[in-house]
Amino acid sequence: MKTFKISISVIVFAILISSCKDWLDVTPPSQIREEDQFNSVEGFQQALIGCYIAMTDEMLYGRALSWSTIELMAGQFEPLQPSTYGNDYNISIYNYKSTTAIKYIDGIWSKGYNVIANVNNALKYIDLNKKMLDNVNYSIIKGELLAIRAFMHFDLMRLYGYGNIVARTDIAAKVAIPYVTVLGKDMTQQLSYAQTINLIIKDLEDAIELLEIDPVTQNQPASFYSEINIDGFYNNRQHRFNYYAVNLLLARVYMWEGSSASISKALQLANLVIANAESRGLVSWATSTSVSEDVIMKSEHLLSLNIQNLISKTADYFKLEIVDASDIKAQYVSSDRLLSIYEVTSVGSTDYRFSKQFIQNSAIVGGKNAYTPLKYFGVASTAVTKNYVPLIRIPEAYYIAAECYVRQSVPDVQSALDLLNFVRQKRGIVAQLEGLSAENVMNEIVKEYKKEFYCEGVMFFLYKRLGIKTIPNYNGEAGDNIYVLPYPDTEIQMGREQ
Amino acid sequence: MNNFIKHGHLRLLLVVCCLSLSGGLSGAIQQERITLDLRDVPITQFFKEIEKQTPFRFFYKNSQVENLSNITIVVQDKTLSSVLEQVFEQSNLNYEITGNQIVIIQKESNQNKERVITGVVVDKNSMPLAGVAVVIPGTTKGVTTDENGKFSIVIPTEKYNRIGFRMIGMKDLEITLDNRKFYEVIMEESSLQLSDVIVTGIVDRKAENFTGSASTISSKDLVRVGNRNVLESLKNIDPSIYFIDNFSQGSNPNALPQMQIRGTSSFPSDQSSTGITLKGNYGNIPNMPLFILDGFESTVERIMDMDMNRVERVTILKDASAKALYGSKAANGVIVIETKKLLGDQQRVTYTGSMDISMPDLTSYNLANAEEKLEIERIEGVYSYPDNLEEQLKANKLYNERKKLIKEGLDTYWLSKPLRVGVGTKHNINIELGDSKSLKGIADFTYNKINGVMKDSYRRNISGSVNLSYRYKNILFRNIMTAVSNFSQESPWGTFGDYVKMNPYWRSNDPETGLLLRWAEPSTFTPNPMYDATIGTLNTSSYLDFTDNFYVETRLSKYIKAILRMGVSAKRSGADEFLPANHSKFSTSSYINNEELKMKRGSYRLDNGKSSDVSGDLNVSYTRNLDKHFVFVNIGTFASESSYSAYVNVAEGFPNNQAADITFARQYAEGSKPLGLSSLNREISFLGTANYSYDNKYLLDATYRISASSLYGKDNRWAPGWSIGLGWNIHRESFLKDSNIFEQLKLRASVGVTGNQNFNTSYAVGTYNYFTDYNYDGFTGAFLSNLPNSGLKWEQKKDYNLGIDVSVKGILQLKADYYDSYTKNLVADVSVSPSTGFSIVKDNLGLVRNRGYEINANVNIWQRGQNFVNVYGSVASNKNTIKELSESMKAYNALQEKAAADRANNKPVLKYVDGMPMQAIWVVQSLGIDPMNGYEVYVKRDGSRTYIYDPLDLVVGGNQEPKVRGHFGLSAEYKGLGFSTTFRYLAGGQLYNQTLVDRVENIDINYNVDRRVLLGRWQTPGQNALFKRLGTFQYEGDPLARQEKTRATSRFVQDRNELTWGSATIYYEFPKKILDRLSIQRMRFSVYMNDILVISSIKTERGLNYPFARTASCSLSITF
Repeated sequence: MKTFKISISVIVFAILISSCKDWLDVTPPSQIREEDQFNSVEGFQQALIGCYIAMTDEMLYGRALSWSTIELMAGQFEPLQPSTYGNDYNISIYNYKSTTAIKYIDGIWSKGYNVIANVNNALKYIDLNKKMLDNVNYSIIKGELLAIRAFMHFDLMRLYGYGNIVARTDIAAKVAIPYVTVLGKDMTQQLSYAQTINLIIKDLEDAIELLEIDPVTQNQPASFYSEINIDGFYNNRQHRFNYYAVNLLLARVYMWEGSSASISKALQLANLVIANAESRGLVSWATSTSVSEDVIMKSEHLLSLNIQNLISKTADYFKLEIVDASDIKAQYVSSDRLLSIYEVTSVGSTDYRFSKQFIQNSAIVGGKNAYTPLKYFGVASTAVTKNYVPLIRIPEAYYIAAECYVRQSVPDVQSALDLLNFVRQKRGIVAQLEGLSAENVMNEIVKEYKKEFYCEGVMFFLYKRLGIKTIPNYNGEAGDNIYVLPYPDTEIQMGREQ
Repeated sequence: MNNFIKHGHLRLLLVVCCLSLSGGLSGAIQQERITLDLRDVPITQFFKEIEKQTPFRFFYKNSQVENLSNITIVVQDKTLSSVLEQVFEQSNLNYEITGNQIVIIQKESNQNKERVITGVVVDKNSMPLAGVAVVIPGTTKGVTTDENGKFSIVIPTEKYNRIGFRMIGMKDLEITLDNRKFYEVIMEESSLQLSDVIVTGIVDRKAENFTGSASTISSKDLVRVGNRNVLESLKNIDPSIYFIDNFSQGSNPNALPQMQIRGTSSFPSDQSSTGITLKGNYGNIPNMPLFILDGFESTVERIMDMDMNRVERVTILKDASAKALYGSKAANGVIVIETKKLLGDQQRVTYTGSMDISMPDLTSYNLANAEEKLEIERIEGVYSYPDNLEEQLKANKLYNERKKLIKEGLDTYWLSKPLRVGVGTKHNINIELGDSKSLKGIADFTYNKINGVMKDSYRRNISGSVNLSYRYKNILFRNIMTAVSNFSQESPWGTFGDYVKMNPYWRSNDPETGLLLRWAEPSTFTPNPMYDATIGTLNTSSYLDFTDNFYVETRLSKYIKAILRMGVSAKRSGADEFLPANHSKFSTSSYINNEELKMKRGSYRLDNGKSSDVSGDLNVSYTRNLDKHFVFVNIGTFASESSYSAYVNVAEGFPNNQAADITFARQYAEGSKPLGLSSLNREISFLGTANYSYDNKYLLDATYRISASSLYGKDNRWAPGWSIGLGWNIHRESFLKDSNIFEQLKLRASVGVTGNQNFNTSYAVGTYNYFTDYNYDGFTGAFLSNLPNSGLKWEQKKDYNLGIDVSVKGILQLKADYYDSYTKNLVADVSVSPSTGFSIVKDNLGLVRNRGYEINANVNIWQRGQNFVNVYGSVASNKNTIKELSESMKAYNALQEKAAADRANNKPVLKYVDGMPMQAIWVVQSLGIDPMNGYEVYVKRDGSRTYIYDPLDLVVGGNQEPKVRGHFGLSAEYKGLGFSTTFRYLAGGQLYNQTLVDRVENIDINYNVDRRVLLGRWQTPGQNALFKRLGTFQYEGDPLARQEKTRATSRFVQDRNELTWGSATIYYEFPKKILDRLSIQRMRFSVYMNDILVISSIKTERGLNYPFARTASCSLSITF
């Protein structure tokens, strides 16, 4: 009896004590713990997709950094109505201290770093749980994650950091935005601009190496992916960071850095994209007929974000019936200005970027009807290309290459013009550019950027990179006062240096 | 020589013994006179001769007499006793007289020789008791009983004729030895003497050996101060439990009380982070103590809803030595509740019924009447449109209309409209089934309906419980099963605040027909809140709670006892909130004018939740008494799993009022989706506790408990808790032993660390969530929903305690404690650099100190038998100080200052600053209202004056925590008639008079205001006003002019000294004479009054959404 009792208690004890470690690893049903999330290929894929979805936030590329706020900051549209509540007015006039502007200043920063936090946690687990992934999934997912991290940091640095850094030697000593690679509550130390750019480059180079296995490179036969891609996760590569998009992004980074060494690296990368992106079938040029259906020129996207219900999100901003006083969000361009941008009276009359990507609206500016961009507004609701916001398009490769040619120590004007003429011809401009000075080629490049990237969040960064002192709608001299967004107050309070 | 003296002593003792034994018959022996002439006869002949002459009969065994030599006795008219004495003097025999029997017994040996006494110790149910210490008083010798309760002890010499028996939970017992060799000793349980045992919920401890600070409250004490529920009674008993005033919910029977023991040590939890407010009691609230019911963790709701008659006693464990048994959960103190033990010797049926009356207490309201209100409006310019003639004419018309009605006598007293005198009833039947030897039980059934003072608000509990115990050999099984069905209804009349704000010149009923009006003022479309109550508005919640606790107790060996406990509880809860289409919420013009919105009128919110707990523990204890050493060791292991989930659905669009079912909804509420929360927590822990005492004088307690919870990150999963306690029973020292003054004089000191884990989810690890309404090219995305903090530690509280227990025989009982505790690793939302990707993280920060003292005294002024007069009183004080704060808290404060800078903010903000208390009231120092312009004059930090409110000038204007609080009272009983009354007091604290500032300055002039607006507000230059003029402001870019609110200013910090007449009770215990005739065992009639009167130095509106109430109750208890 006694031994029986003792043995019973021993058993009970043993049951209670044994494997208590596993027993404690539980999660409530409404929660997925990180360890469980990164326990399967699907988990990693979901986390990656989650990063792209986070990028489609209204504060990021879902609105502010693509077709709205940042375009207003580049003076792309008629000035907004003042003294109204809750629109982008204050930020569009660079009144960065106002609460409505702070909404964006804090919002873009925190949403941007939130994407980075998601990336960093996935990156942590992708190496911890490498054994759960095959090589293709591991390489491509990790490559994309690295690219997103670099991309977000790069854009945050372009917004909250100084521009035209190659021309400004004083910048080198300053610290840039923190380059965060670890998820945690501790603040990441700020590094100098050079160091920060090197980290961006490093991530992108790593991404490029990992993405060699990307189906778009066609380094492997299609059958190589058939099993891994059974659910189509690696279809539609232009909706996520693919090999060529990352290459061109790296070229963009080198351009921002701007030193002559960087220029030659950028040229190399741009040329690689020019040589392969089209020939390997990733992109194809739009035509004047295709653009009627595909206003956003989806076929040219090296990278675009899939944004659900984009049309309903843009509806308040782009419209035909504009009532000046009450349309506090309306984004449109005056007729005179648009005609001059597209040089309609000279070479641009056949430029379908003017004729098919804009439409006259009811607003009267200077006695004429103004124009509304059609890129998002005009996409037929049935079109497959609706709901996409481009982040990188193929013309940029040509413009980067062209700029590199003219900025080489020995400018190669002809190569630059060839590239520009190639794109102009694709857009329906018959007249060829000829015999221009390097400086004039540069001017033409800026003009082409303007024509090409309406509503794509490109111009603000171009002006800033080139240190252009006059920008539309702004009477003063454009400098750091408008080009550099202040850090959020909380960051400053915690000791960040800008 | 020495031997001789001993001898003599012994003989004397024997004689005394015999005399006392013969007791009442000694007279007979003395009276019987005898004449004998016997020579050389056997002693049996002598017996026969005596039996002839007297009525006495001899009883003896032949063996006792057969070897005796013959005797010779010649006496003339001598008393029987002297004759017997003479005969037995030379023999080895003696005698005892019982009735008319003279029993011959063996005379005890006069030699100094050892003898062996054996016996068995049993309880009153004849169950053998093992591990009982058997001692010989005056020696260091002792043994313990084996598992069959048997013992064998060697008595060294004749000198020792008593043996003592001691066991925890049993009354000490001493018996006098006679010449028997075998004794059956029955020990009684000491549970009736509450003060002797400290019930910790895990192991019972003898109070005398306990070094912790704990107060034990008997059911008698609980019933003395109230009959509503355990918590309500505790309010009037122990000041160390501080019930936080619920100014918003007042005396709402459905509001759960919040309490804390020995100060605040956690930051308020941030419920808003989940964005979901759930109905029903799921997660725990920081700062709340841990509730243990019959050894199992419980919730405050369960305690509130349990029938008070079931409670045997409540023990509050306060210091580390007492609460370290609960390790990582005990930081906020532990309240151990034990239900009635089975007495098991009688069958009894007890009925207790009571009728409870609640009456609203509106003394704190000071609202304007119709005339005053209209005048205030006129002064404030409600009817003045100097620039707009058309509007002015409209306003004039409105003013005149209202004025006319007032002249006609309209002055609606809205406050009384939703109120009533709530009459509730309670019935309880308790059946004790227990005269079987091994199976005993109590069955209990209660119906309790508490009617609140708001019309139709009530809480109804129906509960039943069965408590069974069965003993098989030396295994005791016990099972307590409880089921509670609760239904609570919030008043369909809405919140009390809706009535407080109604203008008295509005109408509730039609003056002619008396019917309820849809609109209180038809011309302004002001809905009548009373109308909502008539159209089927519903706001109810209910739950069904089932608990089963199972205990097995057995003795593994002589010294080792094992207790296995397993408990399961499950709760299903639900809540319904239905607002019909006609509800005033949908009476705004937008609902009426918009066809689309019109279809959406009517809403239904349905909550569903369930929770379950399974827990088990095994404790093995070892008790040993060796000479003067007493050792007690207990080791235990615990495991538990608790989970809950709750879901909320909201639907809209209800065609008519009768359709009070969610299935009649037109659709889910626009933009809503099913919401829910769930939690799953597993925990495992190991406990070791040891107690050593030397001669009951010097006491040592040590406890160590280590727990792991699935809530915490792998890095910090295990949390230890420990304590060491020392005690000195001074009254046991020889220098006090002989003095009869002190029954108890004990010094206690303890130190230890315990933890707190009242946090909802796992903040330590990252958790992922899905973008449920979003896909990317058809693929689902997941995102990190919180910033993980793997270094998150358990909150730890280190307590030091110094205490003294004094008990002066029959006069005074005093218990005083001084404590000093440090809580570190407080868990709070800490702002982090947004570059981390998140704005807040749950992190440990800072150190908070709580120190104070508690003194409880009870003086027995007069006692004669059952009749007595007692006075009692207590004082408690706690001082809270923030000792250290991490850097990140500064960012939190900055955010708070930002909130304070908002001109529409009307409340003090919470700031945490080193050296300041957590309950500090942060305000800007004010000099009052400038008589010239009506603006408030503030004092800047540098002492200069300004009109501008700057959050940087915030200073500590007061402390919400009272400096002292306590209670005092009196209880008395005379011939079954008893009286008891208790007062509570608090003093030395401050309060920000939020209701005053909201009712006189931050007013919405369209609704009723405090009367003081009329006289106290600044109106004209030169006026010395208490209350400032109002201003407006605009947010940047916002065209709307908004009313500027009075932000936290020292003007509204007021001293709070309060005296509450908490309870008064009169009871009558019917005398046995009357009851015997009715074949009733016991009958008691009581009348209670609670919260009778509040006298406060601060005049503030209490009970904003639900008024406070005074309650009275009469109760009758009959036992058959």
